[in-house]
Amino acid sequence: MVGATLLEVSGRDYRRWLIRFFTFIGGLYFFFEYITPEAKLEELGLKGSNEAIINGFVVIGVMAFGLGICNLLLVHGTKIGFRRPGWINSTALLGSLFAMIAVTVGSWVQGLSLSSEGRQPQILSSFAKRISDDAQKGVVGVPSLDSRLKALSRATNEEIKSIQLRRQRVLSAGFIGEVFLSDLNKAVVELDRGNQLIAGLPTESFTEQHASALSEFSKLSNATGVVYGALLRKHGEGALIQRAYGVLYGGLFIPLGSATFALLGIYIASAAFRAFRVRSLESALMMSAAVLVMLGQIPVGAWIYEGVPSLGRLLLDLPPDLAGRLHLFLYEGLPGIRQWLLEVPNSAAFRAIRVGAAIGGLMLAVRMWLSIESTSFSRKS
Amino acid sequence: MEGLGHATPGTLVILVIVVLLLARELQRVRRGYQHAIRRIPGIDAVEGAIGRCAEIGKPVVFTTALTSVSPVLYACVGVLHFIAKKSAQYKLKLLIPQNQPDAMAIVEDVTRDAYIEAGRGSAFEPQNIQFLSDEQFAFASGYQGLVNREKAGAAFLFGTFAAEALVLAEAGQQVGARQVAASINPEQVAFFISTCDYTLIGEELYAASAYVSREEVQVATLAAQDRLKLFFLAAIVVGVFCVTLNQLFPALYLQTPEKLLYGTWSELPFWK
Repeated sequence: MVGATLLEVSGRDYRRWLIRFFTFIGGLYFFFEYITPEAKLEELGLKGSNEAIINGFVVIGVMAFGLGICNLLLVHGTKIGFRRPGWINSTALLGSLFAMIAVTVGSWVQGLSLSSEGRQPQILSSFAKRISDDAQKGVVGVPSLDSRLKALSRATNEEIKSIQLRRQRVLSAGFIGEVFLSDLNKAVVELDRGNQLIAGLPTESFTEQHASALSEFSKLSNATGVVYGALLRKHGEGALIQRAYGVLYGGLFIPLGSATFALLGIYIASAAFRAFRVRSLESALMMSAAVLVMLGQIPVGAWIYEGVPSLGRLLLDLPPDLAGRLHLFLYEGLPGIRQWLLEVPNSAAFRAIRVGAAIGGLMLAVRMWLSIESTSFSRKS
Repeated sequence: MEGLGHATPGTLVILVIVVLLLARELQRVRRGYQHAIRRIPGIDAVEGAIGRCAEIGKPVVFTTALTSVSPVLYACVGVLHFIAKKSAQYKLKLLIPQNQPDAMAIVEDVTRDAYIEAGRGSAFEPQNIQFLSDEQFAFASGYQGLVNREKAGAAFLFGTFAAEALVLAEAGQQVGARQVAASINPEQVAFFISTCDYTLIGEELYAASAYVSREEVQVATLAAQDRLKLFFLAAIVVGVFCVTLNQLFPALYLQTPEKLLYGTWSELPFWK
């Protein structure tokens, strides 16, 4: 607000000027990005920066959601504050908003913590690989082999204890099967075996035995990480916060949306009833086309048509050539007519609307880019 | 042009034509040339619907539905400005339920300006521009509730619509609101035709703003749009002619306008 006021001092509307400037620059950038061939963009090294710019626009767009939340708080907060009609609905709405925010944030934080815990065995695996690589390459300035192996062994012991502790908590929660836990038990035993391998290594110099033991440890630790990660995910799903999220989102929000969507079934019927009342030539045409399309869509349409060629021959005594052609046409029957109606007149109308709308959109886009504003949406006050 | 990641020289030529056409029409209109705009009953009905609301004392509802910041929104706010001004003059409550928060900021600005222009700036209530939800069907059910609670006298549905179109239009129908809809989505036009009193089809949405305001910039845009349409029509006719001749006389092998558009930069002699 203060910024906007400062930009409008001394009688000149700098705010508007700035908006026009940045709109033009933004438009110019995308114009050149669009007309420059992909190979040239890569050659100029602009491909990567283009992605960053597009992400920036996405971030700015997401910021607008703050506006939406502010509006909700303002409109419904005022209603609640002044006890205006419908304030109970507003309370329910704001209550749901805050509940959903709290549960979503809680679920996100829990997910982060679980994924960080699940990554520990993989980190141990990478550490073992790094020790082996550094020793083979003779990297200087790193701690001695002895101290690194001891650190790895100590960290592995701690991780095994932490996994067992988590296992106890999962067992006491009681919603994960024994089969799942037995997989974890096997993995922990294997990890412990890997740890024993490292603990038993000589510490003087790096040998083939070290490389083999560290590689084995790395594999075992990775495998433990996979099983442990799966257990944590499973454990997370059963947590209270995740269950609350499931109820609010999967149990309420999605079904409510589907219920509104389902209303379309009834509304289409009532709209069709109004549209198909024959009051003019246009509505008669529309109704005929709709009846043909609907009959062509259902099996009974094809069944009705099967009897027509024989009826035609019987009543009109058609010449064989014409009867043959008619039969071919009627053989496809109503599904064929339906297809033709949809693909020829309907597509033509759709294309006409789309081309017209695209041209209108193109013209307005150019006007927006060049800030050729109409007085309807330029600030005059 | 499907499948092209980047523009070809042909599309660049078209963009230049667009800019030149717009500049020319703007110049003509500013010199006082009067373009005739054909009557569009749907747009004439807008003022009638607002007048009806004034008579029966019911609020007006305007929604841009799923329209985000785009040329379509730009076209919609032109009509909104007119409706807001009329509503302010007739002292009507104007409700604008919103689905896109970024569009909401623009809508609020335009509505406030319209109220100020009508000399009733103090009557503008930002609370009447309500963000319902950015989720399609949550917005639709919020809109239904709003229209039913407020017993809207007129509902204007302008912009981009998807499956929720019929839900929105039926809500107005149930309370007996006079409804005018405009959509560039051909799939939704049929729903609007069967449910609303008047429907603007496709590009008529872009014309609506110029029609109600008669402002020189908007009229010039409309005129330029028509000239561009003529250009594309000519391209289609030439294309059909070339394809037909190519079928009849394969030895001729005429280049179609579509192929000129598809020609890439690397095919240009000076690019290499």
